[in-house]
Amino acid sequence: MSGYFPPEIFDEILLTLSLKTLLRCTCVCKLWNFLITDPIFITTHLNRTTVSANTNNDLLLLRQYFGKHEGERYSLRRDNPTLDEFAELEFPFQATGSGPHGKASSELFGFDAKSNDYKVVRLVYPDCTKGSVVEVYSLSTGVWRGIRAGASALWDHFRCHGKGEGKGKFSIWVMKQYGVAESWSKQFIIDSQGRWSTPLGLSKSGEILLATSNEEVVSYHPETQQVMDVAIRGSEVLFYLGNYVESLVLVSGVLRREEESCGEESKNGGLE
Amino acid sequence: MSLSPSTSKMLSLKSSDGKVLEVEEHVAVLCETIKSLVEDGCADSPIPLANVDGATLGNVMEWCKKHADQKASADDLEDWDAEFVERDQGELYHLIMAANYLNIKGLLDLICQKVADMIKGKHPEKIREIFNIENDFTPEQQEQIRKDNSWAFE
Repeated sequence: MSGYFPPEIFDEILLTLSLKTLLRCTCVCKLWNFLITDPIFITTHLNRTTVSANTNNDLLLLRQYFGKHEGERYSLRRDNPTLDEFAELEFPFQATGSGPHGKASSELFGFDAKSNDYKVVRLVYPDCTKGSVVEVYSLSTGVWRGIRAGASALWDHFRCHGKGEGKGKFSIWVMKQYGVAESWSKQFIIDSQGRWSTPLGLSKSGEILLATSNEEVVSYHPETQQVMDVAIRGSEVLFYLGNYVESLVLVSGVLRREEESCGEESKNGGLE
Repeated sequence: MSLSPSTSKMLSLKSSDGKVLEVEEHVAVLCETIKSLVEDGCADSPIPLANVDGATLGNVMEWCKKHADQKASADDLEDWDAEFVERDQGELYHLIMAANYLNIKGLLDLICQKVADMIKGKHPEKIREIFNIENDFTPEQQEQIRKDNSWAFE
């Protein structure tokens, strides 16, 4: 009976299904495959998942950097105080080449639902006196470009951010409504006593995860002020902890669509 | 305009196969499409519903009547709905189309969820069997999709 449903109704049915079931459904017939891999459907599905992820997300994405030779490692961690490893991820692509402003200090990887593209965002300090510049690498175009945006745009991707308060203290800011820059609010001030410095994120149970200057990750409970070592090692400034959201967006899908549109562009190129 | 049960004004609904159903107004207005007609004062003569057959219209109005009943508790409605969707696929299909046409969000969501439950956790072969779908992939295409998403088939 599925073949006769109006597409908007069929979408409603599919949108309630889990990622695993949807992937199985791509194998049922060509029509189902077409409907499920449609970019608009994928975006709608992602938006719904992102909304529901605010309340039921059990996994976090962790990036660890071990220096030039050992490279970096991505893993999914359970959102509990000890960040148990759930799975190791193979990083899908290498952001190649250097951007307009040279070497970067910190990089973040994510999916931009608005442009249907994977992006790496990084902070670059081209000149010590001028402060930082934000650069964005797009997987579909394969190039870096500088954006004229303050740190606020960059931190839009985070729900938790630390800000120096002087004398080894810093405040933790939380974005209460995901994606709404105005909802950032100061939650706590922590006295690091020189032991830790970089906040990574908040765990579901309310602990703050921090990377210390001893190259370890600790969890800090703001009420009890209890500090616990979570046995993850890596250079302090190069940790990244993000929220993990299941989606149908395939890295290969972004690349494939890009190849197709590149082909069309070259065909039409002579007319412009 | 008052749409409370106490008015109990009757509306005539005419199905695609010419059957006329007399329904209380406060029940029929659960259909947004009919509600707009009532509010615009266009609901005097039998309202023609060209896309809904008589049997389906009867089922839809049965659902509306239950859900318009102020005395029904949330638990009661949930149990009743669970029983209501125990139907064969043909009936479910007609109900979904009617709920969409008459714009009854509650009923549409209910049937969509029922159909989704029929798909949930099933393998492609089983889904094809349930919905009577022909597999139009070549074995090679089939193999490629399975390979790309192998974790989903474990």
